[in-house]
Amino acid sequence: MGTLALCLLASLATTSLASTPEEIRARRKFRSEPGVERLLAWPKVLLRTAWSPIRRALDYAERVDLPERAIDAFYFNSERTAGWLPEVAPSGSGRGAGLLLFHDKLLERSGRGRLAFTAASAQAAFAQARLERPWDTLAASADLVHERDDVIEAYARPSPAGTGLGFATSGEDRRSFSVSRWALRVDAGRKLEAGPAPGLFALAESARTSSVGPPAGLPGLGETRLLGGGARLAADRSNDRARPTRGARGWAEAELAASPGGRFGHARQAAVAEGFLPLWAPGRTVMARLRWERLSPLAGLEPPWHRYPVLDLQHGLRGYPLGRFRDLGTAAFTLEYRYPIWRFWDLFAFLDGGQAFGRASALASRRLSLSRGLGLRFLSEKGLILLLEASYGVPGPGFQLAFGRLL
Amino acid sequence: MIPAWLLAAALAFGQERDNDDFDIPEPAPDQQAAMIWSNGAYLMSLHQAEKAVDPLWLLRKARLMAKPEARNVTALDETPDSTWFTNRHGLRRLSPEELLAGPGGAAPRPPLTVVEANPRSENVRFVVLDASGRRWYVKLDPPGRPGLATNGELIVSRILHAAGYNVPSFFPLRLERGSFRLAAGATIQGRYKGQRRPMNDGDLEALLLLAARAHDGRFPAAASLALEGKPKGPFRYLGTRPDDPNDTVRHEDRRELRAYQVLCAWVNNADSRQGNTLDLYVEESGRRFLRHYLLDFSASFGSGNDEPKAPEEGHDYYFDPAQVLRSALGLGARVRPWEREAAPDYPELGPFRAEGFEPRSWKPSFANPSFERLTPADGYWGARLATAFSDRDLEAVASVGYFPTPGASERLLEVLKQRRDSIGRYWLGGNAVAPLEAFAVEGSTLAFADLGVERGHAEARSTLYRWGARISARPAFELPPAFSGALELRVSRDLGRSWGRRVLVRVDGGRVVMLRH
Repeated sequence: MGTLALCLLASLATTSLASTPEEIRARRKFRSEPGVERLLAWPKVLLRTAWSPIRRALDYAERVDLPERAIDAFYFNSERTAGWLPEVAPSGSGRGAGLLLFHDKLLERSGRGRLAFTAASAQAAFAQARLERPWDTLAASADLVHERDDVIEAYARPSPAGTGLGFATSGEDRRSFSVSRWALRVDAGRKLEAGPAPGLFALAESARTSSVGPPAGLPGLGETRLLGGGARLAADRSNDRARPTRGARGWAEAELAASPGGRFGHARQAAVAEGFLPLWAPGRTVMARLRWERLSPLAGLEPPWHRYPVLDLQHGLRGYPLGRFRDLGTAAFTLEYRYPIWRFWDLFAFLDGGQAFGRASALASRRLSLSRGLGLRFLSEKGLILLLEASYGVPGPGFQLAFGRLL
Repeated sequence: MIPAWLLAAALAFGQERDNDDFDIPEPAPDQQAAMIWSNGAYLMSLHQAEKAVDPLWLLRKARLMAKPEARNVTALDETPDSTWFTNRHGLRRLSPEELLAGPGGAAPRPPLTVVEANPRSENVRFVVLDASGRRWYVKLDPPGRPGLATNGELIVSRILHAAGYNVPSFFPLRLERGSFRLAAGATIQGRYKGQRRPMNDGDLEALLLLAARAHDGRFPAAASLALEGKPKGPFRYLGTRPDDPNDTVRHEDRRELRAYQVLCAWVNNADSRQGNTLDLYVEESGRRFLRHYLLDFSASFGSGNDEPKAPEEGHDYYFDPAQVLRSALGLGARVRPWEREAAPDYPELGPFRAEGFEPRSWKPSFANPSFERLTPADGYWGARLATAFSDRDLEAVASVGYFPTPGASERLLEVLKQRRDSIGRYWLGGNAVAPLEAFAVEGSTLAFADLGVERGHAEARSTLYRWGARISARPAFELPPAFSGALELRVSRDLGRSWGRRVLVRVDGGRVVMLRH
């Protein structure tokens, strides 16, 4: 009885929604068939009932050309050279929605301008203004960054190497800090598309940091100003910038900075190298990545703590909270196996490992923090990226979603 | 000299027509059938989900029940002429001139006066009036690839017309800038679909910049004559049209629509969705009814319309959840044939190959309900159409294309022939179907023809025929005196080691009265 009642209800409910010839016939056929056949048909009827509003929505979207109108909502002009995009902020302990403004035809109609502001959370904000000017094989850019994090979690305990500095720890001795930082960096050099890309950069920075809660003896708490510069070299010998399956690429930087008052200073070296090894079939690739970043005191001046390199989910150790490991140096590796599952979609399994250290001699495999997981990446023909990652590290499982545009 | 089997088939076929051209009231256009997104999404999602809750489909999938046979076939397993299909080359071989002529008519006479432009349609499309006032649809090629899209239209339309389908008449053109004039009041598609605005010379120049040019600077183009009649929207591959009383057979049960899969597989027309069909309300012999057309063949061979085909086209649906899951769980170990090696890519042809072509598992970009219900009898019928084209026939139809790159036309012919032969080997030369035709009772002998052998897809010396316990090395069996009844015949291509699917023949009064493959 209950089943028959359900069938009756379904047939009555679907009457007014039928509109396409197929739907009309389905309703008529359903109502005219003997009981057993009607019983077998009711799942289809219910599916089509649920489908009807979706169909109407799709038809409406197609009739009014909704995707084009939606795309135009992100542009300020009909030529689609200036517009805005939503952004996700990776700064501090917060993450949230933000805004990116861009203009591809700024500066005599051949330079790109980009302005980004992200209100990551109630406590954190991140803003960046960038101007790029390409000439043939050269490019110059200026980045003005303002970063404010009201809460940075740091794990304050001297590193095992006993340097008295650093936060490389798996312990629970956590401190909270706040940082407000302005930084200007000007780069000039050869464009990566033209081959190996050497370049020079200059930077100026002003930061105010303070401890939330009990004070801790950290270098650079309070106000710090830095002036400096350095050199950078990048190269890309991979077969595809967006979806590499073969080759290698990487970059390295060397930076010197000091405060005008002579209290703080550092020498910084950073490098990332990626290699891609094609496997038995197209699209199946093993990717290996090595990261290295190291701050050293400069002429007796100590580096401010907020410039210490970090190992966390945004810096080579997926699955770990933001700011999890921070010390004078970090070393990390990644191994990924990537394979295509559909057009534009790749699945990958990864293993991340890394260590923050006060002295290079403290590097040891037994102190590596590891995480492993799976991820799904979508890369459209127009350079839109969607990344879903599920990872598992010592703190437990983590999940990350990222959306962006390949520039 | 017409082969005996053809003559017999012609006589047996006689003057059969489907009588689906009775006068009917003018139907309203089916706007919903023309919607691409909802119909594509339906086929990719709901249509697949419906199968999972359909006990009959599940039984067929488990091979516990056979697919229903086509319902618009005659007693002798032929498809009668109708508003959907007209038996031509498969029944009476057309001459190379007739193949080349296609549906016929005269080519457009320049200058062409542009009345409409649709820049967001795939390839550059103009609606023009020629010098004699006839209305044409002109398609150009994507930049750098003259011939890529237009070759499909020109060649495949001729193949399908010869096979028997209703298609527009396409003509090759080489146009210059001066061939185009702008009509007063010409319109162009606006920023969004459904919007139109007045068209100016700047628009025309901008559109022509997006079109491919031949070496001499002219634009290769394909022009199709506007069909006479009132367009009433596409026809669906599922169900019937409720406002057409002549439409009594569900489309997914029509043989010519099911067997269209074989021809699409042959020419790699992956865009065989309902949006590329047309119901036209015509008036003929004082009667008004719907005639059903196939349209848009520019995504044939290696063409993806405005770019070369992606390698997976023809192998997978545009989105196939089952394949995605298999690929994901397989951890990349499973390598599809098209992943291994790229096909040679001629600009005017795209990557078109015969290696890795499997006639039965070929898929269009969107699921097609008629294709899904293809039975062995339907596939055999479609293969008969495809294998009716000899090498010379293919050379004739291919001559209408534009192939500036040395070796491209040879490549097209080579691949077409190899794919045709693959179809022939599968449907006519294997165990899928007993390809026996032209049954006739001659005295006390039942004689028939083996299409697999006759068309070179099977070896006569390794072929045997079986009726019950009787086995014969030649296509004939002695019948008992005054025999009336049904015979189940089977074919073996390996001297009796294995036997294929049966063909059912009924003899009554010294005549074959029924045939079922």
